[in-house]
Amino acid sequence: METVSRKNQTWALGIVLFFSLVSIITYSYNEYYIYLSAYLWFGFIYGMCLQYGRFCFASAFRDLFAVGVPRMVVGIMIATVLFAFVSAFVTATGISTFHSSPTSIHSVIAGLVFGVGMVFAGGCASGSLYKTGEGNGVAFLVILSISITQAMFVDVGGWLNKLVPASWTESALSKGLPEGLDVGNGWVDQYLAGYVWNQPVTSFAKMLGFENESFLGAYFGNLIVGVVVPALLLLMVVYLFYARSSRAMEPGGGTGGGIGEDIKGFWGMLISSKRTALAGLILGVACGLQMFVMEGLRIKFGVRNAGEILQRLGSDYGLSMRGTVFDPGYWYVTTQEAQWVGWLLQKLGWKNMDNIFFGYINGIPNPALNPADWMSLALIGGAAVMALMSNEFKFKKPTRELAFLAVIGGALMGVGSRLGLGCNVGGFFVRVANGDPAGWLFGLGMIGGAFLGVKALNWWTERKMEKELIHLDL
Amino acid sequence: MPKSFAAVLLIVAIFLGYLIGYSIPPFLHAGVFSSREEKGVAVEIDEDMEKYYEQLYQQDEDE
Repeated sequence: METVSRKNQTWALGIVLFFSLVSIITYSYNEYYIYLSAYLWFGFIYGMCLQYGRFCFASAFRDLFAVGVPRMVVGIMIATVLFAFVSAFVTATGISTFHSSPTSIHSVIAGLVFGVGMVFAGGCASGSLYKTGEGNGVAFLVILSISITQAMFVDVGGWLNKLVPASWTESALSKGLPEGLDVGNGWVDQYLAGYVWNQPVTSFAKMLGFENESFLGAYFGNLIVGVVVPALLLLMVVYLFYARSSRAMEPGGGTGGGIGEDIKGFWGMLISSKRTALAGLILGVACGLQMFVMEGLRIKFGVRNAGEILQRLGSDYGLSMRGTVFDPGYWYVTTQEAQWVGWLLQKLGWKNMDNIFFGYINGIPNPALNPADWMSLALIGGAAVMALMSNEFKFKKPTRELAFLAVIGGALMGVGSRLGLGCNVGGFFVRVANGDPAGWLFGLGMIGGAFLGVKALNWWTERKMEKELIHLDL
Repeated sequence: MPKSFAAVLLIVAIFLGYLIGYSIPPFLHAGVFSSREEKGVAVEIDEDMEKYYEQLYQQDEDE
């Protein structure tokens, strides 16, 4: 590690001391705050890992499709496999807080929209958070755009209601949801209750006839069949189409040595991304530990959701109709971003508790008491500490062009997240690692979307350069 | 490794260790790591509580 300035060190220590004080003071005030502090410290660790490993899906796919460099995609895949090992252990011990999501084509479409958006924005949901911690103004704009778009998208009806198939409306209304919800009004409500909830919820273990918590289910079904085999296939495709050809162009490299040469090349590709893989391993262990700690705290306090904790802390504002708030028990990014804007919009007079997303499931608690918001803020803090300690922290003001792309890309990611019930973390990384087939469907869409996004950006850049050259000729 | 970075890691490790230590006894108490068949404690929101939250929401609407 190179020499770090005293100023950077002071700032880094200041940030970690701030979070320490928040934890200590709130815990001294009321024991229940430890539940929020658990989210905080795991968020902090995620931030440190993300920044260290440059864990950004947008950069990974842009490097692959635009310049043929597979290093980061490989690192992310290795990280996913390592996380899956930890998840299998957590699932087999029966302490996992993970729940599979409905599996159908909607995940592919959602991933496609999200993938295009993340390439436009120059950062995925997790990448934008850690880059914000590095002082990147564009990434901050992306987060704002994702947050605002989601908060509005989940509540809008009006002309969008005309795009809802009649079967969705009929199915949504037949669910017998509480009267306080305006299920027949709002595209997302009818999409969720009328379509998504009707889709099968499964896992690779269940598809093979095992229980998730059984040894065979967790390790063979969810880990080997659900993660290791598909990840190996994907890595082989990346090797054949990208790494192999670039290796052939290297001095002394080549593909004429038969299968032995290919195995050597494949291994070389795997070990070329140690930093991202190491970050992935720590992320995986941290995700598993978070599930363990959150479940332990739930048993200790006798609760199944943080809504009950908030109520005991004397804050029942913004709880959903079922008394719940968003409390996944593991790493998540986008839902809490929607919540804080949802809370703000409600303060400004927008009635947004009559939709399923806020009113029935996640609530809109005060951001100061929202466990998942503590996680995201600490994630930014953890990334800032790592950036300061590696001399990579720098305030970067966005240019007009990048700001425009950030807003458009962020909006697409916001829509994609809500369609897919998660982003590249909650919709792909966590789901795939826990043996949920919906995660791979989202991933397939996301890869397709990233490919289209790179092609569109290339076209736009070339067109812009042509125009500039014409002006120079004149 | 600068001493300040080591200090950061130490602080994170202390909080993480405390959280893990805090969560283990409930698991032991609930028999999660024992041979007991029924693991953990089942907590469900009962109907009265659900009604309470619905009414709470409607009161907010009326206001």
